[in-house]
Amino acid sequence: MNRWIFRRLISVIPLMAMMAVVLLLISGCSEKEKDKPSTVSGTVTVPLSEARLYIYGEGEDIFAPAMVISEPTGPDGAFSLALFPGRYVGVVRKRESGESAGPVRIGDYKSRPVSFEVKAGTPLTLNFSAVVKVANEKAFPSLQAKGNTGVEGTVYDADGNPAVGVRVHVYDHIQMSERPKYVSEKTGPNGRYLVKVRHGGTYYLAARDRFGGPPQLGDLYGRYDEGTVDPSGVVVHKGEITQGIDIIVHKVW
Amino acid sequence: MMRPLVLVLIAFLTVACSAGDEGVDALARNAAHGDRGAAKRLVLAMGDRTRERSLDAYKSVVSVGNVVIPYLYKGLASDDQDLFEACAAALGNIGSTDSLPALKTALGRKGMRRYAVAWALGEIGDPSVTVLLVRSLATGDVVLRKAAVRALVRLGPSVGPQVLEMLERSDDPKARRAAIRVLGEIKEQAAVPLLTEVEGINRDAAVWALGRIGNPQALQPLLKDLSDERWSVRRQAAQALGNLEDAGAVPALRRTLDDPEAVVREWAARSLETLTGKRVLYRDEDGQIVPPYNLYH
Repeated sequence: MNRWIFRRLISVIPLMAMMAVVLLLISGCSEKEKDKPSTVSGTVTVPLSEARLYIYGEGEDIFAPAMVISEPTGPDGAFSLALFPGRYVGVVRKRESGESAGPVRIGDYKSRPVSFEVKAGTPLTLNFSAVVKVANEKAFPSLQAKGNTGVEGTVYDADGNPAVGVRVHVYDHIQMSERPKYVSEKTGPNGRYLVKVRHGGTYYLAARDRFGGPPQLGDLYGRYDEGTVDPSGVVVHKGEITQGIDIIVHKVW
Repeated sequence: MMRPLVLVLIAFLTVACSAGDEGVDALARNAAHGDRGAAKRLVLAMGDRTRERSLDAYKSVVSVGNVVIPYLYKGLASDDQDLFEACAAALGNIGSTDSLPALKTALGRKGMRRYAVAWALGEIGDPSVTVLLVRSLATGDVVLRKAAVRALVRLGPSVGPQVLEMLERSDDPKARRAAIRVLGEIKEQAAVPLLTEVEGINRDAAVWALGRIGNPQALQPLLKDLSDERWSVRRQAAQALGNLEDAGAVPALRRTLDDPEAVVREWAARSLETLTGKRVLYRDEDGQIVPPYNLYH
């Protein structure tokens, strides 16, 4: 009997060893999962199709370009994207224009920002409620300041003609990748623009025919520069309009 | 008698309209299979007045590649500005040095959107086009001049001697300014003696370039520039001295914190922070004592 038990035990040892190896492998994999993205999925209720989920890092400006943007939701309002572990803020937006960037206007849909945490290897389900924006409770961006401090000039196209229907975006950081501090009205037939700013200082300017997001293929775009890597800074003095800041736009290739 | 004529007319219009609406995807597919007619029509579709169709055609042309290239050359000979521009850009994106002769010819076509040609030459990055691009710095076409600066910068340090020669020989202030921008961006050390001598309306650009190049020989001229009567020059000098990373500039920059112009004081503070590693405050336009803001976010 004892011999039988002994034989049984001996026969089980390889199996136990294999199990131990498997367990070790699993624990090793779970360590690596910390570096793997997890799926965040859910539904935009109504349900709302053609909406996008915009993901920002915790503490980031939710009016700045998003870290990640989902594909448009389907007819069931569902979205899904992969995010690395961390804390995020998500906002749903749907613009009637179909654009993926730019200000949310009256008639567009938007949700409240939702904070969430993505943990390694744990899929997360989030549901957003997007409502129609009925009023401009907050200007985006602060289009114009009051007073007599600003910058003006003319936007020209690649043929040297005044460019119609473009806006001048004014930034206070040299990278020009953040939300513009000020934005002009669209240029008319003479291509003229005027942007008022709150404070004197050094600003960086770009003119473009679309609002928000990085310039896309075919967009009209031009920085105020002389062909250099960095844009040229425009110095604006308090109480003065800096004049003659002309910008040339051409297609983005 | 009239009935057959009407029928023929309807048939003709139907064929003509259907040819005009030929889908870009179908054209691209057929072109990729070697259909030259489709390749030609695909290239022509880049000049379509409908933005979406022209952009779709452009993307397809770039992805289809070789079979469309002869028609891109023909587009460069076209008087249609949109087609010319798109063909040049497509060749730049395809990036083949085989297209250099056609692009060089196109760069000489005054009145056309030659900026796209200069851009394409910069993308292809072959130094054999340096002479032509340097010549383009002297053009009256502002957008071409700017694109030529960008293209030369993309070509890199090898363009230095020819751009320097342009700066030495040219009397055209705009051409000289463009050359200075290139020399600064490529950090052409040999340009330092000449840049220190630049006077007049391009002094601010020369001071900017000296700061970019960062050669210690520029220290004394830049210290002198801190006292220039034009605030735009003083501002550039205050910035450039920070780039030089020479502690010998610290006393002069501290005095510059009392400059009458706020933006000069701001740059003096920023450069002092670079040189000393310590926080430096300055008096802003409202008289408040503040730190310079971080240029990058």
